[in-house]
Amino acid sequence: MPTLPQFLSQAFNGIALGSLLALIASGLSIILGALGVLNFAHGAMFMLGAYVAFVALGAWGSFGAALALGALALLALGFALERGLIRFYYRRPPEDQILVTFGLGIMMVEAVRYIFGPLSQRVPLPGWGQGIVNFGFFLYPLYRVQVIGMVAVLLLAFYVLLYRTRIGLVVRAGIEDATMVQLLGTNVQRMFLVVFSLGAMAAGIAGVIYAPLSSVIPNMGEPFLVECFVVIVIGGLGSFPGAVVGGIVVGEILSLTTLFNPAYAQAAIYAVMTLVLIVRPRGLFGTLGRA
Amino acid sequence: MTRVIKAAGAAMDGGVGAPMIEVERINSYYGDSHILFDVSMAVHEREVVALLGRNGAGKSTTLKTLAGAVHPRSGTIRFEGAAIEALPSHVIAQRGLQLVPEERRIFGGLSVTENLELAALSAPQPLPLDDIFAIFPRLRERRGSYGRSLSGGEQQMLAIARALIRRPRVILLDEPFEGLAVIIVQNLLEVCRALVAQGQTIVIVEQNVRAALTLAHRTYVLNNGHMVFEGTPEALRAAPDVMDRYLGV
Repeated sequence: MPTLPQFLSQAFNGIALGSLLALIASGLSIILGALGVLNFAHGAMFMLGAYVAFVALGAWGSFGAALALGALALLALGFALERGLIRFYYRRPPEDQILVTFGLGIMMVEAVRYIFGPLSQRVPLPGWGQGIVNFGFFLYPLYRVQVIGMVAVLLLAFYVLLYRTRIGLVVRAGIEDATMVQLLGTNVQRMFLVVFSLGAMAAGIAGVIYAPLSSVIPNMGEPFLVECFVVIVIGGLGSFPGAVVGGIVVGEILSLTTLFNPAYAQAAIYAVMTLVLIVRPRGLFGTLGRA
Repeated sequence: MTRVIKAAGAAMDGGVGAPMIEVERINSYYGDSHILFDVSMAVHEREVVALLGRNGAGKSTTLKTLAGAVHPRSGTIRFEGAAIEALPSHVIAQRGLQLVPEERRIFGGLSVTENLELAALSAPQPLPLDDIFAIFPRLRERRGSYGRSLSGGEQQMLAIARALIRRPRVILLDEPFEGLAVIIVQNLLEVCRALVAQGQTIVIVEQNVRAALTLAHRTYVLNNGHMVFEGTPEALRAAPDVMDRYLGV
């Protein structure tokens, strides 16, 4: 049996991992809810953020610069992709949308593999993130605490944007009924552009923040993408609170199961997802029914 | 120039002004099924036009085509002189042609106030919320409630209020009384009469022929996507064959 400090430490890991999942999944979920497009390239966008961190930290040694550059680069990429490609697929069948975003993801991964090689890269912890926090009865790495803090600030910013601004009002209405938003005189296409770009940016920022926690490799986004799908199903499609709670739930299940038997971690999240689907088919916070 | 012509027209025609909407031989489809066949109609300023017909006659499709939710494959729609049949629906709404859809389509996850704020977003001079709440006091009481928690009658009030807050030039009302209790229908009819008295132009689609005829200045009857009758409510009442064959009244 694990000791209490081990358990608490792993529970904290669950929050750190879960908050990152929440950040990535909230973008994925809102893109799916508002645009109706399941973005299979979302995991690759997260990976691109991590590589931006690798390059920026190598060049300037500044984590702040890496964060800013990661955010801007993915925002610009999201903007360009929505205008240049994704918007032509809104009226196409879902299988076309999946093929195009899946293909985009593969191209991103292969482009990175071509440029940086298939081997994993190390991204150092920022200077201010090195150290250990003493919580009394267990020790915990400082940077992981900072990860939780940074993601909490970002999620709060997302919340304010969604629930306290005009564009947030349009996004929330558009998730329910984009046609009616359009019939009330607001151009939803512009909102789609904002949502896709910000969703890509959130994935990129998550990649930068995650980079020092693990090794950076071209296909690192794949497990995150799959886990984010589980987060969305548990939390409810298109629901921001659902993505946050679902992220923490999945993060905790992965971390705590690992404590007992790592082999069961992946199976455990699907077991919980199945349970949620039986009890609440629309997810914990979902109001949308979708086939 | 235009204003003078409108005023002259109004003087000649008992308060009804110049043509606002002119529909010429439109053909609309849902996918491959042909719904509207060479439908023509006109709506004048300050006029209430009732669009009648049996279920599936094409009434809702006509309103949706006017609002740009369905684009006709042929024919023209002019609104205040400009062709709008190819414009996206948000541009048509911005020009002042406002659909209140049949299913009401209230945003369930938004509060009553947020539903109204969203509707007001793109309106150049929206009505103040207080004016809306003066028309529908019930909505003031429920302003913080989620759309999904409203009763059917409250949802219909909100659907009409969302249109009114935009100060539209024309309101397209699709089955506003459907499935509502008699007392609420009377309440909504009073609101509609007050709007008509203020000179609001309205196109109304309604299964409740009697209610529609009390409001309308002019009526059109659709049957299987074809326009089969045009005239005043009196003329329609005086045509029992039309009432019987196409409306089942």
